[in-house]
Amino acid sequence: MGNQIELLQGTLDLLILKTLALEPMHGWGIAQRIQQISKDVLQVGQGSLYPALHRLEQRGWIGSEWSTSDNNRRAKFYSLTRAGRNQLEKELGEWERLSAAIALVLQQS
Amino acid sequence: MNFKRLREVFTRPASQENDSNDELHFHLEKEIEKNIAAGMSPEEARRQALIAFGGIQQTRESLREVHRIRIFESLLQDTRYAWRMLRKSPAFTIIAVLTLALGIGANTAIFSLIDAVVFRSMPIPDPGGLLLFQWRASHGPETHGYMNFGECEDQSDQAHPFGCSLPLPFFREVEAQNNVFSHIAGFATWQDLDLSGNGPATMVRNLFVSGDYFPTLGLRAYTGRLFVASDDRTEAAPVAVLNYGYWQSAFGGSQSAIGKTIKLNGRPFTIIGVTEPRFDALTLANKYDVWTPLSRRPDLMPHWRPRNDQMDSFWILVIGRVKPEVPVEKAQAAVSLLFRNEMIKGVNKPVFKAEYSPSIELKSAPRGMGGSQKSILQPLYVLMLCVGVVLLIACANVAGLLLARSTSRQKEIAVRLALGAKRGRIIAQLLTESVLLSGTGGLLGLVVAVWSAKGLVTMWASQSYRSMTLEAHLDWRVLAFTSAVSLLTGLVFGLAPAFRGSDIGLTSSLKAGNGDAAMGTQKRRGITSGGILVSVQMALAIVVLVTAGLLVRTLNNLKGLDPGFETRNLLLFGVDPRLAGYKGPQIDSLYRSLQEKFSALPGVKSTTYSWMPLLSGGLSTTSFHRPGTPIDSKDQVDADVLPVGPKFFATMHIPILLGQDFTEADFAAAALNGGDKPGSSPTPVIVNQLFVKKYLEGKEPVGQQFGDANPDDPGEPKYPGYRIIGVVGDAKYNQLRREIMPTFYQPNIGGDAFFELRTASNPIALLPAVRHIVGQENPDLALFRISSANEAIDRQLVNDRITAQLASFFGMLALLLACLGLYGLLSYEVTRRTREIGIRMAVGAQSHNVVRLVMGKALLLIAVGAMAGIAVALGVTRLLTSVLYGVKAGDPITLLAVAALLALVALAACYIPARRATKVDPLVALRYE
Repeated sequence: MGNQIELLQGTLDLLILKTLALEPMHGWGIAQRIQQISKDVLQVGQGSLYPALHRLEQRGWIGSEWSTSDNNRRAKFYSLTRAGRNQLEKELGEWERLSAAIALVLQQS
Repeated sequence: MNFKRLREVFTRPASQENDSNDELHFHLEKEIEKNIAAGMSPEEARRQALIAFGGIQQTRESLREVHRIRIFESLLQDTRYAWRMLRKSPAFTIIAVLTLALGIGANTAIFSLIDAVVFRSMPIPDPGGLLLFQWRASHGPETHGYMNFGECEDQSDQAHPFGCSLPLPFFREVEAQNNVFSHIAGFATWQDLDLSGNGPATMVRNLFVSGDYFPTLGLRAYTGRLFVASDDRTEAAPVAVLNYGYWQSAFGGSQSAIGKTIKLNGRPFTIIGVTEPRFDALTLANKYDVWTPLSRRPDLMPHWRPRNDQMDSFWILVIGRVKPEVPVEKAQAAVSLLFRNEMIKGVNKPVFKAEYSPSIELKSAPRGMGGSQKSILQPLYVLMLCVGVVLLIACANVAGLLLARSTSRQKEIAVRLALGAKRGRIIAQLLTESVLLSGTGGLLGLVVAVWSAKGLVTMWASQSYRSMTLEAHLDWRVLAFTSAVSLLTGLVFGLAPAFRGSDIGLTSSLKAGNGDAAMGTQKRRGITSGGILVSVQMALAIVVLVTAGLLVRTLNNLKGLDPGFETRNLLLFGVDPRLAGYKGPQIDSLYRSLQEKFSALPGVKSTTYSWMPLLSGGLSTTSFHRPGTPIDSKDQVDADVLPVGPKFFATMHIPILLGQDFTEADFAAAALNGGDKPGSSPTPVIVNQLFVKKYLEGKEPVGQQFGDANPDDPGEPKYPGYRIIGVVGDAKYNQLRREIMPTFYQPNIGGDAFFELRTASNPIALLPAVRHIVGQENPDLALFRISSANEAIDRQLVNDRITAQLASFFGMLALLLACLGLYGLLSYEVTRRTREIGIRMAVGAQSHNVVRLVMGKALLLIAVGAMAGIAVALGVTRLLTSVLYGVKAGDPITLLAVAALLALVALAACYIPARRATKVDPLVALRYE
């Protein structure tokens, strides 16, 4: 299991949006992708993943559709909407400004 | 319209759970798969997966939470958004809210009145347990006298008779044999009493009650005490109880009133107590000032005879409560049996024959009493119909406004749809706007309702003799009604525009151009939904107008009725010399003296008096064996009776057709028969033409005798009956609506009387002189029920007049709304088709061509609306039949007149838009975008 870093809700949203920017996928796939790309540092449990997905859907930033997965099972696939794409751009920008600012402060010795 | 999406909007919560479960299960499956792929055994894989999965219940709960907030948040969001949108177009919002407030308010007002009349429970503890005695039989009773004072529904002279008046001895027996009732009481009213000893003499309304009356009702004294059983004995001291309101107004609410001795009709009575403030009257229109014991009735009723209190005189109402351990059916059976036995025994002959199956039913008092309620309910139901239709028109109107408005919001909606909003959400949001509008209208409507209900009650009460205790409250029923109506209204007028407004072809509306997607996705020449709305409004307006028209005609018919006598310049007033101590022949000589003095007044053309003035509501009937049949014949017929004074027919302008008027000798002869023992010669009477037609069949009327009857006790002389000395023209008796019956007039002997003075001009102007004469004759004589004959008739027509007035008002309102809708539609059309009109004019169309273009559709709408309206009206007005007089529900003249009125006003409404169309400048129009 390792040390699980606590993810803020807003950050998780950003990661989900970014993941879906490439292609639509179902919840499990999103969690796997995030885990893989972060080299196992970020492991998103279903307890935080699905509430986040449903909230994002309500906000209209992602849409959902039931379809068959690669193992011939019925699964809910999420995709990014146009509004979601805009939101992603906005949040990426903010994230970069935030992390730059924090880096500046931490560099102070 | 996408039904699947619509379904989703409403079924999401249910299927949401299933979806969430499926999603989570899928995740778990994949986790297990991953573990198996990593080399674990299936059981291990599952175990590890479940551990990593964590609490599934918790997740489910979180998901539910997310969706819950969403519904609430979206509602809040919608409402805020709706509020903003409505604020942006204030003119529309104000007009819509006002229209709705009027419609909803009017409905609430009428409903609250109906609610007060129908559901108002009696102001006593446990009104449901109070039972009223009601007799029932297959044939009416043979009575010595039957009195009914309108306290309950009474049909003693109809086909399946029933009633609540009962004989005193029967009541006393039930009272005495009391083993099934915990409480039993009897009560009756009579005429007003003369109360003196507390300032100037006044007339008060009195109710005779038995000893257990107040305990039966569960009432307590506010001060002093109320009656107990011992107060109701013949030998008991005379006592009286005051109504709280009367105590306040006449005695200033002073404690000194308790124990004070006052005089009722000259007899001393001691006031022993005052009732609770909240108890005013048991039923709607019968408020009493004092209560006196039943046993005091002989003292207070000057015309009382012991004969009046036997088993064949029906006049007392009986109420009671059964003991808790006794079922109502058992009590009912017991009293019914007692009643049956007594009725078959009768006095000398049966009151009810055995085969008529007389019985007693114990009815719930709140439902059984309140007979005069019916007369108020009828007009209220008619008005409810009218305001209901007006509200529908208002809804259609606002729907039209919304439709027109939605076209200007197309861009906004199109953008939202393009951004990914679901159609269901847009519909929900638009509906929120509608409900917000109607909710605001409803709130405002409550204010309108309270104010107009008060006004209505005041209008009614000021025009009737009896004091009404009708108050419209804003109780939970009324509030529930208003909320339901507001909500429904909002949904009704909001639904269609919401669906229309969100059904947009994106590309066409995002382009610049004439934005007519919502109004014109149909063919140009077809009927749009806006047009349908206008036609509906026209049809509904016709329904209300026809109702109003029929009611107005009914009123005119009643007002224009020839009652058979001259109603103009006739002064009426009542006087009761018995209350001032006059007895027997003194009364008649007083009347003669007064008659002479009145006739001598300048401005008085002639004077007379009678037991009741005509068309005052009072009625007296009698029955006798058909003339020409033997004295004991079973063939009984009825006739109206009116005792009259000298010169009655001359003063009232009723023509004498045969024979002559009464002479002094006739009065003397009648006086002989009016005593305790009847004389030997028949009373001279004058009959009306109908009497001759129905009962005398071609025989020479003058000289005919009828109505002789065998005595009650053998050994007594028989009643000599009547001898006809003249025939007069037919005249109405007590009510305008009641048909004229065979009537005979007899000389008025003794008793109280009403004077009729035929004056040269305004009758009321003679009043001071009349008062002077009466005061000079005897200062203790009080005049009452003073009015002119026309005023008295107007009072009878109160209900009809108010209903006709209000219906007409609503009819005009309906017409106005409908025509506003038409005007709005046409205006919009002209604006929309400005380009087209410009083109046509540029290629040579004349003014009248343009007008025809614009009006063609309008005429079609008016015609369709009118025809539909007439069809609906024919069906609806059938409900009115019981209220109408002299005009049928499907009266063609009224229908045509209304249709013509509608057409005229509607065409006038079209005038301005049509004119605007002709003023279109082709050059400007062609450039117009």
